[in-house]
Amino acid sequence: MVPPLRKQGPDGGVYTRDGKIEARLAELVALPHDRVVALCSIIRREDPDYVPSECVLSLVRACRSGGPPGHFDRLYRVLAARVLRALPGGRSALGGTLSLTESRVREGAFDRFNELLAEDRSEYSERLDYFEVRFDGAIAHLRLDARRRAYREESRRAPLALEGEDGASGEAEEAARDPAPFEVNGIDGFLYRPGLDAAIGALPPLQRTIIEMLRQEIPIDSKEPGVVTIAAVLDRSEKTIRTHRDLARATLRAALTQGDDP
Amino acid sequence: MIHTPHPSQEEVLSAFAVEPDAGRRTLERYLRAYPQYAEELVELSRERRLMEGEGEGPLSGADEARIEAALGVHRGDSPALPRDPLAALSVPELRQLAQRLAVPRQVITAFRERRVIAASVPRRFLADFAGALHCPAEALLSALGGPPPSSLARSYKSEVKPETEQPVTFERLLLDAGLSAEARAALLAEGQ
Repeated sequence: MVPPLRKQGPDGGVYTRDGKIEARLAELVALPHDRVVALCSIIRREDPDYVPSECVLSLVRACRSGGPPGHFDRLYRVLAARVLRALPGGRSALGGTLSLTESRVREGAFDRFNELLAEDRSEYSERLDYFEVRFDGAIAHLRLDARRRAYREESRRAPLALEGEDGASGEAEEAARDPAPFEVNGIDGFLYRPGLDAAIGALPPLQRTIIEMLRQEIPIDSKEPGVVTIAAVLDRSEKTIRTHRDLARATLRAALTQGDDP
Repeated sequence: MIHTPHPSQEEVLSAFAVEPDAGRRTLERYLRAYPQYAEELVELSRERRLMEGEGEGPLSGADEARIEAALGVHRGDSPALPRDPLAALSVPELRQLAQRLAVPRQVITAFRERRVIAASVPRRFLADFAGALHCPAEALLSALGGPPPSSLARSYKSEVKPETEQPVTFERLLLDAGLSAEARAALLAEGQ
């Protein structure tokens, strides 16, 4: 019997696991412990026996009420490895290639996850419940919180930034007018160059938001009623959005073409 | 979606986080409903997209060490995750560390006393440093970014209160330590 979650959502209803997760958990708890650990240790998501992380977390939490010696340790190692793989740098074992900010995000999110788990091991904590509903989404939320803390800690400088309506620096405006080394059409081909995510991460918040919305193909403006637009959501004029977009593009261009010149 | 009249930012972000599809349509739905949290929603959507690129490969040795350290805390073996891998080094260990990293001891001491700007340290040196300390690179980075441990504060015999030394770049530190241009170049190399 898999115990139900307890956390209440904003609509008053209790969070529930996906039906497939519930069914898989029911299968897993009926298996010998060694077999459970072996299945949970499968890394490739395409493997038909792969156990979703929501299930692994549920099994780890269940160790609170006991289990054979070493069972928690083995399951925890599997779970912690999955958390680390979902954090910045998880695609590579070369941790040394991470930027300082990304390293802080990685460390901050991992530490926070362990704090939540420690809390839950002491006494059931509802704060882990939504990880059993959508593990990846909950980890993304952890990453976001850790990223905000990292930005605050670093008191990030923004040399080409402008946040106000008329705050453009001369340097940034000039950069934005530069002939583009990779001129693009439509939604901006430059948005898909390698290494771009790190460069976007270093933009000032407003510019980062605009660029991310453009990547999601949300239009800057629209005459059609009911269409979600960047200008309307951010409550700025279309002209202001375009100015910030151009400044962001200039900054990204400079960051991505560093070292391109002979 | 949320049905309370004035949901908090955390409630909205948590609801968005558990959406099965965090793509454009879902994002638009949330932006329309909660424009006051637009920046955070877009950032969370970005994090979910960035995660799609994270991998399934083997973990690094540093990550394995990190997991074992955290496991020790959960089991109650150790009171907390190690926060400062430099704090407990004995003098002989400091000497060995300096030899291994090919720097004078004063360079290690400067790291220990947080007199180095962490962002100026080449990643390759940091990785070597962390490896020599048998700790994850993130733990070392975190320690270097924090204040010096009070137990490590050097005692001064002067009658006036000593001024706090301002952190310097790694390159400045090497220069002040009298390293040759060749040695500095080797230590400042970023590597691959």
